[in-house]
Amino acid sequence: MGLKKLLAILLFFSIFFITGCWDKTEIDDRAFVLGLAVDETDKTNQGPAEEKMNKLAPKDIEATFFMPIPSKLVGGQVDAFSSEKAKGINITDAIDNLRLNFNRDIFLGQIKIILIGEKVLKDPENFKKLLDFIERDPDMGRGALICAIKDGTDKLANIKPKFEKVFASYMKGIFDNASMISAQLSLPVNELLGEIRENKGSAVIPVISIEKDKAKCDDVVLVKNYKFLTYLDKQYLRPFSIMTNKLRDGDVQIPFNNKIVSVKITSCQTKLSLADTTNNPRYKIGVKLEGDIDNYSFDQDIFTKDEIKQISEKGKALIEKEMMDMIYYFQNALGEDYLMVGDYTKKYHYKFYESYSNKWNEEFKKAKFDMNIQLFIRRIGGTKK
Amino acid sequence: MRFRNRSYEKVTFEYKTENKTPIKKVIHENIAIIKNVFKDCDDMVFREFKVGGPEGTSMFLVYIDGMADKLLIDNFVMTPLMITTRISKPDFNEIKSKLIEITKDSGLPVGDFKEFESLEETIDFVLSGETALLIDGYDKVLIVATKAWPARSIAEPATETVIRGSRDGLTETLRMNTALIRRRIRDPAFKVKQETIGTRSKTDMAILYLEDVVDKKILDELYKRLKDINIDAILDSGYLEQFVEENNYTPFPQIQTTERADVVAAAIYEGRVGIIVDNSPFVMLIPTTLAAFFQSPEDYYSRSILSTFIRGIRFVAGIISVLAPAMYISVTSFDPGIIPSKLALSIAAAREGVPFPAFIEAIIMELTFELLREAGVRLPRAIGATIGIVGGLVIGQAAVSASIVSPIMVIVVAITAIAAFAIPNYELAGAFRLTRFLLILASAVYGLYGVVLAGIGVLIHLANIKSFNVPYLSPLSPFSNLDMKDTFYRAPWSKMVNRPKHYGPEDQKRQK
Repeated sequence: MGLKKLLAILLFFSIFFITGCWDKTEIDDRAFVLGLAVDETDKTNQGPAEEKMNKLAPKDIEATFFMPIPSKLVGGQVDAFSSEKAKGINITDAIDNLRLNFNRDIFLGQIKIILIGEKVLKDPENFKKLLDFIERDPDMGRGALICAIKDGTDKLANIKPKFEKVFASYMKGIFDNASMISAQLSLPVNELLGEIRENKGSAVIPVISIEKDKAKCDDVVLVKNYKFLTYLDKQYLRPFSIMTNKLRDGDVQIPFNNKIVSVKITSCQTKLSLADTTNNPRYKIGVKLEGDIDNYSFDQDIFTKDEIKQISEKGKALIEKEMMDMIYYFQNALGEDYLMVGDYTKKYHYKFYESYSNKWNEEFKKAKFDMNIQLFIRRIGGTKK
Repeated sequence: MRFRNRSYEKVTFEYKTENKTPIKKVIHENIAIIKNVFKDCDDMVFREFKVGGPEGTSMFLVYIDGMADKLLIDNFVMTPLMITTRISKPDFNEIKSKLIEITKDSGLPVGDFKEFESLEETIDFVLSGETALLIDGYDKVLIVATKAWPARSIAEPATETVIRGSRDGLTETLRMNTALIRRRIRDPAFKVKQETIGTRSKTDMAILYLEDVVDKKILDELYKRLKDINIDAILDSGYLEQFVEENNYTPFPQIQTTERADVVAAAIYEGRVGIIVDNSPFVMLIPTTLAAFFQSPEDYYSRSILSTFIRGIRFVAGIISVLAPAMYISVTSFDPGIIPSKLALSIAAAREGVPFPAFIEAIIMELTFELLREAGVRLPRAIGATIGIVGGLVIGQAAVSASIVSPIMVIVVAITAIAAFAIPNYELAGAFRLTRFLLILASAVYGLYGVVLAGIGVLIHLANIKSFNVPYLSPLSPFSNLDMKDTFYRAPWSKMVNRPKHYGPEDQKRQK
């Protein structure tokens, strides 16, 4: 037998040792985690044996796994999900601890939503542990949405899903709906990991708050150095979405003829460009919005070009003001560049950025912004004259 | 009486095709030899008779009952020789001296007859259904073309039915087949080269091609391979196929077979070679590529957009028939993260209570399906429908109710089966079936990784196959942009100006 043949055979058999049947877990032996809520809790074991470990990790992580029960789900029963809690130094440890009293294999490949308790956000060490787990675990679904929970994850148990049998699907549905009307950002895990690494620990994370048995989602939290900074005022959410090119949909209420015209935004494109670098950097923000008239008043009609032009002019002014207020807030009140201006400058004007890379926020504060907003109203809807 | 008492020289003839024993001038020596050769062959007809009355010249007629046309022999051989010579002018005695010439030139009103000089040739022709006429005093034999054996009439082909297209299928009779093809190629460049093959069966075969189009290298290679065959009998084109193909140890057919005359004609026009074997309605076409198996004659008769769509469906069907069960196993046993969660949960719910892992489940179902398929083929048509009911109940209902398999597995196997039937060529569908089992095995051991690994292995194998030196995967590998017009999509006829390049035609243009 030639050496080549022998080598080929050896190579072929080597694959038997790489992976194989022992990785196999039948689908009905798995527990599909569709939602994961992570919070912080005090240490349960305070004995001398754990002293050293407790010093390194003073607070435990408490993970709640929301898992549907397939047979109940298909059988059409209510309460088709189970939520299991487990504690540990980190998520891996929590999963291990859960395994001690759980009969199925925890599978994170189908995860839809990851909820982070406020306490975790306020503890950079635990927050970093969580991010690391999400990034490192090969099974983790990368499309899962991530969001924070005001207060803690305890209240999640109060939520009663409507129209859905599975808790995680319900939460994701709320989220999708909210981001559809620009009341919320939609942040997939992969995007957060990229952003937070790029911006050295700064990120904007959507927030869910729980009132009685309902979940509401119209807040955003700003994170700096992997730590909770502040909640973003609701009025800045839409301009922030426009600025970061994340606006998908949503109504703009425009005063017109002593009434309100609702214009539904159907598309939004924002283009940032560096216009001037002498003295302070000067940026141009070009926003192109398209929309339809969604609601007005039954006894009023909008038919003429002039009227439409007037509405779009007013809309432009409204959005421009919102944008300027938002930029002012980030430049002056916060003094932090969450608007991805630094990211843009780094990518497209690296030489300029390089000289300020260490103190970019200072430069950001001094930056000037020129707005060029275009709002096109394309459809006026059905009405009789 | 005189002849009967005469003692002949001892017969020492031994029949061997390659020998050439000359025909004796004394007819009874020849008769003795022939009768001895055909001893115990009760289907032979030997007829000794005299032309010109009792004192006339002896003649001997030999043919096989059932293979020769008796009516033709009686009316156009026997009647002129035995009766016309006696009742019409000139008188027998006048022509007696020139009997042989007259018989040949003006005595036999038949269209086709030939002269031969050896006894072996005589025997060979008689065996193929011709009639041999020996004349006393003449050392040659007259072979009258009287072949007429029971033959199936032309019917719609069983395997390649089409909605639009001709309905005449090939039959078991070589001559009928050549006629059907010749009808479609009225060109003197269309050659039908006939040979016999099989030392005992002496099966007729014909090689068909367009002389100025075909790649001569393919013909040379074919002749070379045919020369090496030394078998006693070729009963079907399947025998010959296995002798002339490159690789016997692959499930993938390297020679296309068809039951349709229009497919043969189309292939010949493309510059390919057709091989007809007598007694087989399946004509072989060489060289062949994998893509050719996905083509159906209908593709060329209906509108190109529709043909392209249908061809696309066939390719998808091919992929499903190979991959579906393997993918199901990988997803359920290894990587449930890659499918939508609702589907994953449905599968998980459906599998609860099933005692076997997905792999065993798949093997049970696939084997049951194979059993049903095989049983269905063997059963008489009247009972054939029963197997469908039994199979449907066994697979569809009982197995699921008994929780032996999950309903989703039944769907997977059913879709796989339907997809396999959508592949136009039966042999390729068979190859895909075997590949499917390989992939099932690979997926059971390694999951998706195994499917990819085995898939690459199969692709490498396919890339290695050649059919008469034409790569099996052409025109994809080696890639030929020009030939794409008839691969994944079928361009309108006006755009298909050239013949497929990968078959190497000498004359590339089919539209000037």
